[in-house]
Amino acid sequence: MNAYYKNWRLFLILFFLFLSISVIFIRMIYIQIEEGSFLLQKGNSQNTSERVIEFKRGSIFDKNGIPLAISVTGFDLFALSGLSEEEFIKIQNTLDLNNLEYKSFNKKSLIKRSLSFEQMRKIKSLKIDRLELEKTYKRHYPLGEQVSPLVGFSGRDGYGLEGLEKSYNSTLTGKPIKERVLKDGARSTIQRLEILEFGEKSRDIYLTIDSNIQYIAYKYLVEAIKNNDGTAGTVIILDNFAREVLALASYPSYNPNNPMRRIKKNRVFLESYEPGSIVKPLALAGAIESGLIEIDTEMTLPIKIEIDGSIINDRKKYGQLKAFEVIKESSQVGATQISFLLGAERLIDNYKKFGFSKPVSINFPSTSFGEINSREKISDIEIATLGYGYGLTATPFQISQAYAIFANNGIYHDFRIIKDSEFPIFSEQIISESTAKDILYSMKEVVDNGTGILAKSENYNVSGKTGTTEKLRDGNYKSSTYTASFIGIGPNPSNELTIFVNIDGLGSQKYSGGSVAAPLFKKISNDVFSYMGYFNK
Amino acid sequence: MKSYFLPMIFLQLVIITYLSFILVDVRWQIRSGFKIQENLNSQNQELQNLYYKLLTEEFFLNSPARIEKKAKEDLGMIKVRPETIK
Repeated sequence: MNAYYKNWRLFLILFFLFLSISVIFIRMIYIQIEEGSFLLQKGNSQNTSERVIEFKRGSIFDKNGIPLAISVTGFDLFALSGLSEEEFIKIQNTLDLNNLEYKSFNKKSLIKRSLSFEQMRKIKSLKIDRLELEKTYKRHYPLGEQVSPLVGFSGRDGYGLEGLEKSYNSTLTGKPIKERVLKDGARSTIQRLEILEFGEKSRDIYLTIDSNIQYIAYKYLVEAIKNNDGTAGTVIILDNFAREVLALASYPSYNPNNPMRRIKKNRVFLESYEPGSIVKPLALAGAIESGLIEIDTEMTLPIKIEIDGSIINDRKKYGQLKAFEVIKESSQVGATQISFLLGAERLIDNYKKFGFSKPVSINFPSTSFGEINSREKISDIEIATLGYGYGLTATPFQISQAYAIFANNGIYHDFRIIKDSEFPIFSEQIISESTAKDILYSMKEVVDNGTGILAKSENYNVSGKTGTTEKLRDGNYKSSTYTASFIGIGPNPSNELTIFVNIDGLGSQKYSGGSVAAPLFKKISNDVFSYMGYFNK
Repeated sequence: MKSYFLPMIFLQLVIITYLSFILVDVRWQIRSGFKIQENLNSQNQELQNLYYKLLTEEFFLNSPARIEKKAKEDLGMIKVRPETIK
């Protein structure tokens, strides 16, 4: 009886134990089968999350590795709702924020922007839950206004808004990585579970710009504009051998580091204007190339000619001039005769061969192509004016590329601004080598004895051409405003560089290419040739 | 046959327990490695910041604008023309 009683109790205990285990087991199966996926999802949502890793925006350097645009990592500090005054005072003491006063935080509010890594670590060591640190990148432009119309700037969101920052935005930004990560109880990421989207690392860009040459160009440009009461201007320096752009200065400019900046356009690519006499050598090259004239052909020039009721005249009566002397003296009558020799069709085709009215090879957010008056029934006066640079527009960059043809023995090259660019450089023989040499000879005469004598340097030999244009306003030529231009190739005989300068908005006192642009060219070329290691004649 | 049964079970339990410890250890190592990687990334960015600051400072100190200003204003230097060197 006693043994039976003992066994009965044992069986009862075992029975309840078995029952309990069975209930737990059944519950486990139920949870696993019925609620398994829901609970797994809920667990994952608590322990895992997706995060996007954005790459720091790539930098822009000049050809020597000098930074033109860089991003620095910082942290923005936010207070979350419910941050106490005691906690706020701790933050104040840590960051020396004495000018900030405590207010009750009802929503996420910014306390301080751009904390350094050291400040970030100090804040983290406070172990305050109601704080959030957000990683940010601040963009800096060490060269400021010297290069801002070219480099441009990016916004706070890291998106390029102007200049090369805009046109190379995808290269500089890369593509963010998206991944799923495991988090611990403190919501810190402890493990990467899977990569959801493979990104692409942001890349740096190296330009062909030399910041020392850029400085020389910008400095003298601003000085010349101020001294001559001009309003704007450009300088372009091309390396004819490497087919690279060494400097692109555009004034007025702006400080890209200032959030209140007022954007100014890059005149090098956007300001297409009537180039004036600067196109005369291009027309002469076309005429020589067509076999219509030779460089030393004698031309008889009256002091003025009347076409369709309009009078085209020179400063003085030249009588007889050789073709190269037409360039040297910048004779309007001579240029008109060359235009008529070529005829409208050949003249326009010739300008197009030199790259006018065509898009440029530089990847820039917006560029102007310029245009040429190519109406079917073009009048005689329009043909005449095309010969000395009216009735067509071109940007400073197009003019510079066109002149580089003479330095490159008649070969047209597209110039590049990005070093190691994967795009092939387009090249084409436009005129013969002998024609290119003839034109260089006539341009040398311009500087040595002609209208560009103020570009003549004691130290270096250069070839060049002046240009003066009256500004067209509301369909009329407003004679009180001029653009003075000068383009030169040098130092002779290597002809490594093509340098273009122009100053816009000049008044009626001093406005010609010879008196305003040529001296500016001389200053820039002297310093640049010296910087590049050329020494004296 | 029966005499091997219990030792086999025991051996399996030991192996399972050992493997569980290994699993925990590997997970811990993965997480430690991840933390180290994150720290190194952060250090890399901090050093990059410093590098850019130094690069900019180097450029500022070497910049032709600053040198020209110092030479003219502080030292009273004048530009040497090539023809004056004989």
